[in-house]
Amino acid sequence: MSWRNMEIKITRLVLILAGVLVQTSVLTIILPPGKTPNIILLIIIAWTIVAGFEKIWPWAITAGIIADLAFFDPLGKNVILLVLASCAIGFLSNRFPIENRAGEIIAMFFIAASAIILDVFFNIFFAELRGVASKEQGLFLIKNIATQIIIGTAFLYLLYAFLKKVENRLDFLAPSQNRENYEK
Amino acid sequence: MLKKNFRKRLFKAAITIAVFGLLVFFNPYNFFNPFREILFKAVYPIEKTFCFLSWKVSDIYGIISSIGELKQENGKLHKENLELLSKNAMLCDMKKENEMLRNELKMLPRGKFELEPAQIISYDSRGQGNWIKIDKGRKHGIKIGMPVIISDSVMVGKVEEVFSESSQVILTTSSQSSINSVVSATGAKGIIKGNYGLKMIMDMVLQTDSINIGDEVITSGIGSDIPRGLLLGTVSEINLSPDHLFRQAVVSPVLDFSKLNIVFVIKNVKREI
Repeated sequence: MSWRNMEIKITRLVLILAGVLVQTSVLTIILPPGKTPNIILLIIIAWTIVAGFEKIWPWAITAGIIADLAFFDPLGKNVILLVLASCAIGFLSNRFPIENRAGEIIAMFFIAASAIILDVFFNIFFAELRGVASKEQGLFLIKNIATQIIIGTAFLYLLYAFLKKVENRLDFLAPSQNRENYEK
Repeated sequence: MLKKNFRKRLFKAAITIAVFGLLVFFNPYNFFNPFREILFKAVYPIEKTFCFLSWKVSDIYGIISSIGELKQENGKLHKENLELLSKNAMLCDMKKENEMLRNELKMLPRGKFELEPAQIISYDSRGQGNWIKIDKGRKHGIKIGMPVIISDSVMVGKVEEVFSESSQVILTTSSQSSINSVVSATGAKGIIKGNYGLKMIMDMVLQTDSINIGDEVITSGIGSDIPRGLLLGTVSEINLSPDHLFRQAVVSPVLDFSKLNIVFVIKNVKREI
């Protein structure tokens, strides 16, 4: 493996670890209880928009495994969620290219909203599977969806801009060219 | 071509979901803990720094948002100070009476535990108060099942997983938590279970046992390493269990677990006292 490839891999791994740490040791302290969106999910979504599913899906698995270990979740729970979200976003971003800033913000809002709703229902489903679900828990999660969507949209937009720069810095192809390559 | 690409992607996603779905289904308990240990060891210093900085930011935000209220608060505190001075004299007398009553109830005297102070380094990723991670682990003598408290006798949870430099603590409000408890005023016994980080439910209380709203619920000290007399919360609602055989009490924690910063692990009880 060349040093360049190694550098890219290390950068991506560091970003994923930073995302996990921001989620458990920063946002849970700064934000009120229950209002923290799933940052790892937003990172993978933003990354898929920037680089495409083909390039990101192994990283979605890596991020999922790290998140499962760090969040004390059963191994595989976050992997499934991240791969599912990445696959859906990869499919959609090929068909609906974003052309202007206003469109970008609206698209980010809808993507963040869908991702957060998916995340909430995924959590309820897993709690049900483990036999620890309750009506109060469901209501609590649903009650906080609106705030999570607003915070999530802001994060997704910032992450998208940041990861675009990171990918360009790592000498990757521009996202649009990337997509065309995959089409071929 | 597009269809072929789409099918290829779908296949990859389906395979991943199937493999990890099976892993979730057959997830052996604690099987992946050695990997957790490595991960936590690697991120420990950064995690601690992130947590410290976040508390600073949170404090600064708290100070800025409360500047307007400070003058009003100062006047209120001055008034309260005078009231407290008079109450202090009365409390000295009550302290003696309390010690006598605790002795009678066979509750452990306060401040008689061998405590290990610990800083919280990360919280439940959803901020729902199910677990916390502390900066003390196997190296510091922490063991699974040890109770975690604050303010000398308020129980917040118990140690669930121990790593070399950190430990996971399941909070009393987590649905994974189950503690034998007793209502201090009436002696009604039951089991306190968490309710997804929101509150606690005292279950299995006999219909004949007396229980009132506002009663304090403490640990019973039966069947675990948790000593008797640690405060769990106060009764806020009383209902019948779904099968109508027992009574259930909704117990509210005495503090907001999301505001916790420092906790104490009870390593031992000083039996000689």
